[in-house]
Amino acid sequence: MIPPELDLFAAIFGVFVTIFIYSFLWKENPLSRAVEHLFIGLAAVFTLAFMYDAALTQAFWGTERIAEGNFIWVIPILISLMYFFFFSKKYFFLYRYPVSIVAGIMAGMMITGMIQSNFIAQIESTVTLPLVGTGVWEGWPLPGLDSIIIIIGVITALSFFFFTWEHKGALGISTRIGRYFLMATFGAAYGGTVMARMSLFIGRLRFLYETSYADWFWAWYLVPIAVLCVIIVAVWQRSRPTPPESEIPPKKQKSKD
Amino acid sequence: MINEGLVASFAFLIIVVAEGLIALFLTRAGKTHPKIRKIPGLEAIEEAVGRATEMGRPIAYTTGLGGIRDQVYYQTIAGLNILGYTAELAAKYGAKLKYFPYDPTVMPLAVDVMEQAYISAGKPEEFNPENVQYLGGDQFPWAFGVLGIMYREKTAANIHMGPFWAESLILAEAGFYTGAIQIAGTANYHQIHFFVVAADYALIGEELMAAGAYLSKDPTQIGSLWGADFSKITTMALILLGVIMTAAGINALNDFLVL
Repeated sequence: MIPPELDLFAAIFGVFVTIFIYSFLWKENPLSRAVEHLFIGLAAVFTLAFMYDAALTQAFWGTERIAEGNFIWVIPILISLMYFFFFSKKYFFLYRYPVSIVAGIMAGMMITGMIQSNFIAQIESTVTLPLVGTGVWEGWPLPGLDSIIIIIGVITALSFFFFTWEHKGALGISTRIGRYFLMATFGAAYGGTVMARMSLFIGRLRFLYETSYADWFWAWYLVPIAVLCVIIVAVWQRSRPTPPESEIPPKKQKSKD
Repeated sequence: MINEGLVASFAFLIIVVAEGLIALFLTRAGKTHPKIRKIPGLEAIEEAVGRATEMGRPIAYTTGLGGIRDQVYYQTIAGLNILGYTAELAAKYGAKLKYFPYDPTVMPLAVDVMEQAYISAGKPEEFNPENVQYLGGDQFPWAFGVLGIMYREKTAANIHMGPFWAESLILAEAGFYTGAIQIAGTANYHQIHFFVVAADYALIGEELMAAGAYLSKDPTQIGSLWGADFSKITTMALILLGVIMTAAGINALNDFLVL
């Protein structure tokens, strides 16, 4: 949450960063690169702060901290510290233990949910599709026909994922039909997601158009200035002689030791 | 003893595990030799590495937004499996492979996997840990960082294998404009269509998880995959049986599924 006194700064910064990032659509340039590096640096620091807050703050200063007798925290902290053996040549292998423990825990936690959502829920949804009954074969589109198409789609699409049998003969026909169903699904999903992306773009335009500070400053005043910055950089970049690729010296490779 | 609503899940879990274990042991014992069908996306990796070698440009590799401590960890592990194979090929051909982890916990694993691959290829001295480059643990900065590097270094091949979300189209579309050969796969059904549209080769859903068995030819993994095929047959049989029973007015299977 941005404090109110920083609204003006946030608006100015937001406009420049938005335009500089969009300038990537024209070409990778120093301004887009600067924002890219800023973005990555912030993300790295945010991740560190988030991890610190999620683990150590809870363990040492939270309501259920170690000092209150919750020594259970010691186990995950010690396991996590084993990660640092990655930097040891002698005890390098020890870093694999926390990895294995976490992967094992996740496998155990996930399996029930996976069976329920990927198998049982799928089977249940398919077998309960209406095939008989009042109104199933009346009107248009026919609900019964929809059900048959879905059942064929599920069975044939599933057959596409057989790996240890060659897709030949009857299985070949089934997998081909399944592939058509998959492609039709992907096409529909693609269209839907593109529409969602357009709404994100509109949201950004609204930010540029509507953001204001104390009714006298509107963010979109800055858009031409930001665009001008991009044009200046573009002209500057074009005026610089670029060496042919063969003359660019290769980067020095550093060894692990 | 079993929570309400999970009885059917438990029964199905037992069936799936039993099928998997039987198939696995039969394959390991050499009693059956199941063959895995051709997966074009995986075959194309060698072509991509060869192209990068000829052009003298790097290969960009990502495993999406997954870590080893989230719900999609299995996709990350599948992606790391393919990373090992790609790194071994890169080492053999002398191509430069760059990997960009999203999750910090994956970074040491990736370094380890790539180093082992270079050792397997007989070129441990050519492995450079700086080719594993952390780009921040946030979705869009990471994606922007990857595509910035793809543009600046003019990558010859972009390989994306793992769990992807909204950044999938950004990577695949921007990668397309760099002119690189693109191979991408994910089991996130809400993102795979972007890869199908924008990449040269796409691994759809479970094809990503089958990669480990496909590339390693390890009997244990092939057996496990064979067992998974049987669980799909069981699912199909249950669906057909359920559809027929429901149409005939018998709700026994439906009632069991909600137990």
